[in-house]
Amino acid sequence: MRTARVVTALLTMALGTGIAEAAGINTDVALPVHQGGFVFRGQLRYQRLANDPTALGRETTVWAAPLVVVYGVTSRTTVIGALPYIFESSKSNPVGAPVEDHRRGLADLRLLIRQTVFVRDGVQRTSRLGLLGGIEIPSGSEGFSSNTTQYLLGGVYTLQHGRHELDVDNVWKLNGEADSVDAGDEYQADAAYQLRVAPWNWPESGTPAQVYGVLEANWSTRQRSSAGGARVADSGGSLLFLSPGLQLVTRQVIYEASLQIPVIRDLNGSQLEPNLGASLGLRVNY
Amino acid sequence: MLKRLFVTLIFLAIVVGAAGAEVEEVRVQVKGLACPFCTFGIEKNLKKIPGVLSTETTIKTGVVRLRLRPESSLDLQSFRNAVTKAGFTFEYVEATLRGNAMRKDGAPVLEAGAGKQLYRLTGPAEGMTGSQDAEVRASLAEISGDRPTHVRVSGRLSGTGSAAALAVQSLEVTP
Repeated sequence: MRTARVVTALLTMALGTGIAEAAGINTDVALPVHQGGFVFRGQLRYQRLANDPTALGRETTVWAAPLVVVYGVTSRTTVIGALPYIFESSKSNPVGAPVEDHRRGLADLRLLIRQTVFVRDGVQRTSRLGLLGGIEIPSGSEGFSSNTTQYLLGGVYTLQHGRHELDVDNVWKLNGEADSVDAGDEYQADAAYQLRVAPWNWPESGTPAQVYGVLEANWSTRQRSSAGGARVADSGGSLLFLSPGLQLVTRQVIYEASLQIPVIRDLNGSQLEPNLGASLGLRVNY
Repeated sequence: MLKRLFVTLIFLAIVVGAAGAEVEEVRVQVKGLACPFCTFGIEKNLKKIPGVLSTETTIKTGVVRLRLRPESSLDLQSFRNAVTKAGFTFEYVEATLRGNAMRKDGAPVLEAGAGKQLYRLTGPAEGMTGSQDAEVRASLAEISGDRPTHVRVSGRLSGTGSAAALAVQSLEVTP
């Protein structure tokens, strides 16, 4: 149960981002999906949780494959559905006898709507602000679901100018109560800077594929949970990742890879800490 | 026999007339494009416009060049809608057309496309130098009401349907 809680919290952080349309690997962006158009996104994410402060020697490896579908209802209104599939492998060594456990299943379905409220366009530049709202439906498999409907609210800003792009998002997640446990609310903030490294200058005609170098900061903090009025010791805390990455951007497909380096791991109680993570993915315009 | 000859002559007249009245190229100026992934939606929407054969976007300038069937009619609103639906800012459309220039109610017009769409020829277009401006004015003044002159015109498109107009950037008489 303890491991599952940690994993759920981490996955919320790790999988809840980067669901939109162009640059920014682990960060949401405010760029448009054309009216009636789809973007499909598939990813494979790896994360190892270790540094057990107890004598149990716990360690968990998580492979997650979130599938994201983005649909342009209008040029300014976008709906986003995200469904992660998870494979989790846990090890512990309680009394000198190693115990292993493997589980797999779907996490909760996340549905978001993004409304663009501000646009300023120029040649080779755009600046956009969007508002985000949505829910997480407790549709996931046993052990991977929060078992309660969760509400999301946030905003996202994108600035593209020449070879530079900056994306910033903030999302509040209001968690509900399930099985007499009131899960703590979460706040997440991401900032991503992308630099077009090739071509350094656009050619006089045409639009070749481009390569972006990406550097992101992904911050996530969660309140302690409470059960029966008492605070749960092994819950809540803050994480900050620095995430360098690379993207190859073509007209129809984006190929991307990113590392997630934990910089701050301030978790309460005896929760396992995330180590170096990685992700590999692609997005397809349709 | 005479009937067959007559039909053939009519057919030739139509073919020759249509071949001389055509859309060469359309350039759509867009704001907000900054990466290849963004161009997909605009090009997809523009390709839905009847007559559009191919598109090529140049991010550096924000221009989408369209190749159309020569007999196509140009509808400014359809270009505007395609860009807007893709989530970007429409600026203007420039076109290069071949057709017959003449005067109608005293004003110069261009008859182009298989449907013989009429474009009022206005101008010169904004942003031209003094000499270009004078050249366009002189070319427009030369258009006679007596007989159609076959010309190649580039200009900025405005209006739709019967109100379609080209603010002329260049006009040359062609054989």
